[in-house]
Amino acid sequence: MSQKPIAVIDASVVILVGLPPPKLEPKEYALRRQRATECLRSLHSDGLDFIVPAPTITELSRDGNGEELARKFFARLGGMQVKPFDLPAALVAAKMLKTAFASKAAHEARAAIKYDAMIAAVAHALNAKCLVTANARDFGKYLAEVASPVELIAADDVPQKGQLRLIDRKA
Amino acid sequence: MNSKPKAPRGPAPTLEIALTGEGIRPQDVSIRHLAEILAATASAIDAVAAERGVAPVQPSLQKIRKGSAVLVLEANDTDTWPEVVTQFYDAAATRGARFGAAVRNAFARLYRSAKIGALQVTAVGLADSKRADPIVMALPLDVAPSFTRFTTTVYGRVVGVNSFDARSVVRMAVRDGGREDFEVTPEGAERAAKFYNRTVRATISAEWDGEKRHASQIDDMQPWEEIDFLGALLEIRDELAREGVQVDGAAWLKELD
Repeated sequence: MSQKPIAVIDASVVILVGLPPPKLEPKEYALRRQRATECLRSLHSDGLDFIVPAPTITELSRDGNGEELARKFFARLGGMQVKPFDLPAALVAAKMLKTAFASKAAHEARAAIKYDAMIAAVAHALNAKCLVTANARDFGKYLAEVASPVELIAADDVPQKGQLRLIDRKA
Repeated sequence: MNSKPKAPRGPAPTLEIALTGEGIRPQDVSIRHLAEILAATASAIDAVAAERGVAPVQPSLQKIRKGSAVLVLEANDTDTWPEVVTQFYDAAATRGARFGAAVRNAFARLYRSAKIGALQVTAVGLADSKRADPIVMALPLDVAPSFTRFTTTVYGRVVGVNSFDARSVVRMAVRDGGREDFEVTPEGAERAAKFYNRTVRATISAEWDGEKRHASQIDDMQPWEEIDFLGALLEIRDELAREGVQVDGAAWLKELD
C-alpha cells in the first residue's frame, strides 16, 4: 500500500519552531531552529499535509512560561489536522513497546508514559510518509520494531537528501 | 576500526507457487488469473512480513517454469528474504496456526485465487532441510471475525451524498488520500449535503478487523478550514516575542529526550 502524503509532527518541532529565540541564543540552537523551520517549509512545498497526533498535544503541556506556547498552540488546533490515538494506533504502540517492556525487570516501572511510541504509532497506523522530529533518538527504535516504512526526519539536522539549505552551505 | 569479514552467503532461496491439478499447463492460466494469484501472493508475503516485524521485501517473478504452472519468486534482500520465505512456508504448512487474522485472511485469499486447481508452496534453498517438502495449500484455520468498534477523526471534502431506501451514504475525498464512503442517518445526510464540496472534520465510528476499518459511519460532522501550519507556528513565535516570553527551549527539548 503506498504511503500517504502526510508528515506527522512531534512536540519537539513545535517547541523548536514556535518559541522565540532566547536573547543570547547559542549558535548551535539557532541553527537547529532555522533548519527545523526550513524543513517544514520544504515539506509543505512538497505537498505534504501536516498532522498533529493527539499525544503531541499532551507532550506540550508544561508549567511556567512554556504554558504560553501550549496555550497559543491549542487555540489554533481547530484549523489543524489533529489525529486521535485511536484503536489501530494503540495496537501498533503495543507492538512497539513489547520489546522495551520485556527488557525491564518485573520490579521496574513499566507504565511510564511513552509519548514517542504513541506518536510513532499514530504515524505508522496512518501510513504516513514521514515523522518529523527534533528529537530522533527513540523514534527510530520504535519504527524499526514494526518494520515501519515511515521515514524519520530529523528536522533540526543537516538534510540528508536533496539540496543543502542556505544556512548549511559554506561560503 | 576492525571489521570481521562477512561469511559467504549461499544463493538466495526461492519461493515457488505452483498451480497444480491434473492437466493444468501454463497456457490454461489467463493473464488476469495469473495477476490475481500474484497479487494474492504479494499480499500474503506482506502480511507475513508485517506480522513477524520483518522489513517489507519486494520479491520479483524469476520465471514461470515450463511443463506446469509454477511461479518462482526471489528477492535480492538477502537479510530478510530467507526469513520471509521461512515464515511463508510455515504459515502455509500450519494453515496459519500461530499467525494472526491478517495472515490467515491473506492466505485464504491466496488459497481461493487458485480457482481451477490447488496451490502448492515450495521453499527452495533454505538452510533448514525440514522445510524442503512441497505443501499443497489448504484453507487456513477458521478465524472468528473479531471486529472491534472504535472512533476516530477524518478530514476531507464532501463529494457526494446518496440516500437510498434503507440507508444514506456520504462520500468524502479524505485528506490523506482516496475516497471513502460513510453511512449516515437521514438527518446526517441532510447535514452533509449542506457541506457539499466543502472541507469538514468528521468524527466516525468503524469496525476494526486487525488490518483495516469496515462499516464506517459518520457520527458528527463540522465545517473545517485548514490553517497554514508553519505560518501558525511563526505567528505564535512572533506573539510570544512581542509579549516578552522567554523559555529555555534547549532545556525543554532535553526534558523530552
